[in-house]
Amino acid sequence: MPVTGRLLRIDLSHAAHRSETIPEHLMQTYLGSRGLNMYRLYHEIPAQTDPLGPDNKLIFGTGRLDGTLYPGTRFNVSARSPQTGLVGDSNAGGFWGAEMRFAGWDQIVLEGRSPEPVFIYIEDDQVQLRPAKHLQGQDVWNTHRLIREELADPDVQIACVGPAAENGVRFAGIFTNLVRTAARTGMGTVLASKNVKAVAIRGHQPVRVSDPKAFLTLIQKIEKHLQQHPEFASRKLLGTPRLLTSLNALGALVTRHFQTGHFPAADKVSGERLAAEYNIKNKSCFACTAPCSRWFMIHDGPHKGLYGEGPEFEPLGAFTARVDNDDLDVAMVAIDRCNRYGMDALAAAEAIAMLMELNQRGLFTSEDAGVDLSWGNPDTILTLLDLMAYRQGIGDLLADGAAKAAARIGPHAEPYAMHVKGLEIIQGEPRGLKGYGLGHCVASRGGDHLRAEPFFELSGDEAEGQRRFGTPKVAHPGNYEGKGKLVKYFEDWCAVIDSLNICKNTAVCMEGVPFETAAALLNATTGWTLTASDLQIAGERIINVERAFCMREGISRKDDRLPSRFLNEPLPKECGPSAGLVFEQDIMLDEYYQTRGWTREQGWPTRSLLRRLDLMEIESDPDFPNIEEGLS
Amino acid sequence: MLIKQITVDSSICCGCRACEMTCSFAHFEVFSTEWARIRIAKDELRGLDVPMVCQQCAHPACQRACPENAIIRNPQTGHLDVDSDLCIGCKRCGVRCPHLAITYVPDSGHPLICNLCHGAPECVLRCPTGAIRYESINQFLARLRFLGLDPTPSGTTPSRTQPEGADT
Repeated sequence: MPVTGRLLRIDLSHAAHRSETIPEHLMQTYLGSRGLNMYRLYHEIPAQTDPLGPDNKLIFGTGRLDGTLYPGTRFNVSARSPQTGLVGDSNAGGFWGAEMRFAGWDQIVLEGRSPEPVFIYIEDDQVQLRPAKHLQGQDVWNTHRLIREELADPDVQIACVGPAAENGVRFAGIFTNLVRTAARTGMGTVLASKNVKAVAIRGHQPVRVSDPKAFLTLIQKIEKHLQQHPEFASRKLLGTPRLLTSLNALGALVTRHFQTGHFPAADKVSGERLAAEYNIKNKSCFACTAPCSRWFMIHDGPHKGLYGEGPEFEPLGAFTARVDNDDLDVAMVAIDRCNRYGMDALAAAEAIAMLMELNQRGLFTSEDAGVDLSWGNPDTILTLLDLMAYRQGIGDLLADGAAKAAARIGPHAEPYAMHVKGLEIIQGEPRGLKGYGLGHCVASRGGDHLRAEPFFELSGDEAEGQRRFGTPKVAHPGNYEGKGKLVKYFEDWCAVIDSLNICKNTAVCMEGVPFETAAALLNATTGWTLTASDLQIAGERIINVERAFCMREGISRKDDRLPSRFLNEPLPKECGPSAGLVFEQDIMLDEYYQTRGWTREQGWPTRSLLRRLDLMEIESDPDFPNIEEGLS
Repeated sequence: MLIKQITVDSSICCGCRACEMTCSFAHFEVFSTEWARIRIAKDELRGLDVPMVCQQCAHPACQRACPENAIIRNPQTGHLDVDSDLCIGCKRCGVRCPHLAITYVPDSGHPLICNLCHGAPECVLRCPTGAIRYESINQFLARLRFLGLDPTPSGTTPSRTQPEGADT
C-alpha cells in the first residue's frame, strides 16, 4: 500500500479548511517536513510575495519519525521570511510536532488572513477557528495557560506568538512548550500577520510503523551509540551551554559584538556554573532519552525566584559575551523576557550589541538612542528588549532587525550589522570556525549554522578528514582547506535530518544518524527501500530547491558574503588558537560552488544539475533566472 | 518473595514521555499515549512532570470497585490482570483508582492497568533519569532517606483522598 501524507489546508480569509493527499512520490523525493515544506514554498509562493500580506503562506510540517520512540523529534515551520525576504524556515523540539502527528497530519498550510483575531484548535480531523480577542497582547506563558484553561485540556500542545509578533517585530518566533521555539526568520511575525495567535493541537490517533521489529532495533542501536558517546554525560549535565567555555578556549566565542573571540568572564556565565548553582532537573523534548534541557531557578540576588526552562547556548552567549555582560542573572532575565515577548533572542541581542559598538565608535551615541549604550549595561539590555517588543522609541528601529536598523541609521553604520542576507550571525566566530562561517555565507535562510552544522571541523581527526574530504587540514576549525566539500556534505545531511525532523544535536553532532541509518529508519517506518545514496540526493535536491527560491528573489554569489570585518580584521592576540585569523571567503566559496555543481560566477545550479535532481519543473518557472546548461 | 512495583520520583522526571511510547509499543506495537499504561501528567508553567502508573495497592480500590471481579492479582509479580472476557467496560475501576493510573483501550473501553511487563517493565529500562524504577517500596524509601529527601512531595505518585464509601 502506498505511503501517502495528509495535508490540512486552512483558508483563514474564508474560515474554510480541507484535507489533501500528499502523493507517495513526493514523500519519497522530499522525505517530509523541511523537504516537503520547501517544495511547497517554491511552488505555492510566487516571487516577491509580501511576507506579511495574505498571499504568503505559513506551512507547518512533521517528519515520519515524529510521534515515535525516536529520541527527540521536532516540527518545521516555513514561509517567505519578513526578515530576509528569502527562505523562512525554522524548527523546534518540544511536544507540538508529535501531537500534530497524533492528530494525523503531515503538513498544515495556513493561507489568507483572518478578519478577526483567532486561534486555531485542531483535534484530529476537527478544525475550529476560535475567537482570540481576549488573548491579544498576552505573553507566551499566559497564552499557554489561558488556552489550556479554555480547552480544559492540560495535554493540548500550543504553538503561539507573543506580543512581539503582534506588534510587528520582524524576528518574532513561534513558541511551543513555553521555550521550545521556531525562533529564526520571523515565522511568528508571519503567523501574527494572519491574525492568528496560536495553533493548538491535540491528537488521539496511534502512529504506526511498517516494520516494528526493525524500527525498535534501530532505535536501540542509536540510543546505545549516544549513551557511549564521549559527549553524552556533559550534554546531559550542561546541555548546549557546554559550548560557552569550549568556544572561549578556542578563541571563537563571539564577544563585544565580534571584536574578539575571548570573553574573560566566561566562567561566571558558563554552563558549568548553571549546572552547579541554578539547575534543578533535566527537561527534555518528546521521547528523548538524551535529555539536554534543564529547569532552573535563580536562588539569590535581585532576580531571585525567576524560574523556567533553558537556556540554550546561543541566547546565553548572546546576552553575555556578545553584549559584554558578565552578570549571569541579567542574561537569564533577558532570555526569559525574549521568551515571554516571543522573539528571537539572538536577533534581539545582535541589535543591542550593534548599538553598543556604534556608540563605542561614536557613530550612534547614547544621546541618539536615549539610553546609556555603554557595554554590558544591564538596565539598557532589559530596557531595549521592552522597547523592541512594543516598538517604542529606539525599539521601533531595532524591531526590524539589525540589518534594516543599520540601513536606517546610515551607510556608516551598515558595516556593523553582523548579518548575512538579513539574518543575524550566531554566537560562533566565523574567523575561528571557518566551516561554520562558510555555512553562514551560503545558507538559504541567512547567517545561521543550522543549515550546515559542520561540526567535523572541530574533531581534529586528520585521517578521517583526508579520507572524506581530501585533506587532513579540514579537521581543524581555523583552516580553510576542504571546507567547501565539508559544508556541501553537511548541508545535504542536515537537509535530510531536518526532513525526518529529528534533533541535530544527537543525529548530526553526535553522529547518531548517518545517511545509512536515516535510510534504514525511514524504510522501517514506511516499508520503502530507499538507499543512503537516495537520501543524499534528496538532501541535495532540497538544498537546490531552497537555492532556486532565493535565486528567484535575486540572490547570487554577490550575496553569499559575510560582513567585511571578518575578511579584513584579524582576530586579536587574546584569542589563543584563533588569534590572527581572517576569513578566506572567495577561496572557500569557489570550492563550495564547484563541489555543488554550481557556477563559479553566480553560484547557481546548471540545467544539467537540475535534471539530475529531478527538478526540471523549476526551469519552466517564468520568474526563474536564465541559467547555464552545464556539463551533464 | 519481595513484591516490586514501579516507584516514581517526580522530582527528577524530565517529562520526555519516552515511557508512554515504550509502553504502547511494547504491548500494542503502536506509538500512542492513549494506548499507554503509564502517563506523564504535566504542569508546564511550574515545570512539574509526574509519571502516573499503577502502584500495586495492597487492597486495590479498582479490584473492589469491579462488579464482575474481572481484575485479578497475579501471584508471581503481584500485578493486576484484567480478564477481558469478564470485563463489561463500566469504567468504575478508573474512577476509583487513588493514583489516577488507569486508562482505557480507545476502541474496546477495557481498562489498561500496568502489568509490569510480567516482571521487567520496559518503560523503566528506557527512563533516562531514573525517575521511575522497578523496586520494592522499601528500597525506594530507603534511597530517599539516604539522599535526605522528603518523599511526600515527589514520590511515589500523588494520590487523592479516597471518596467516601469507595470500598463498598
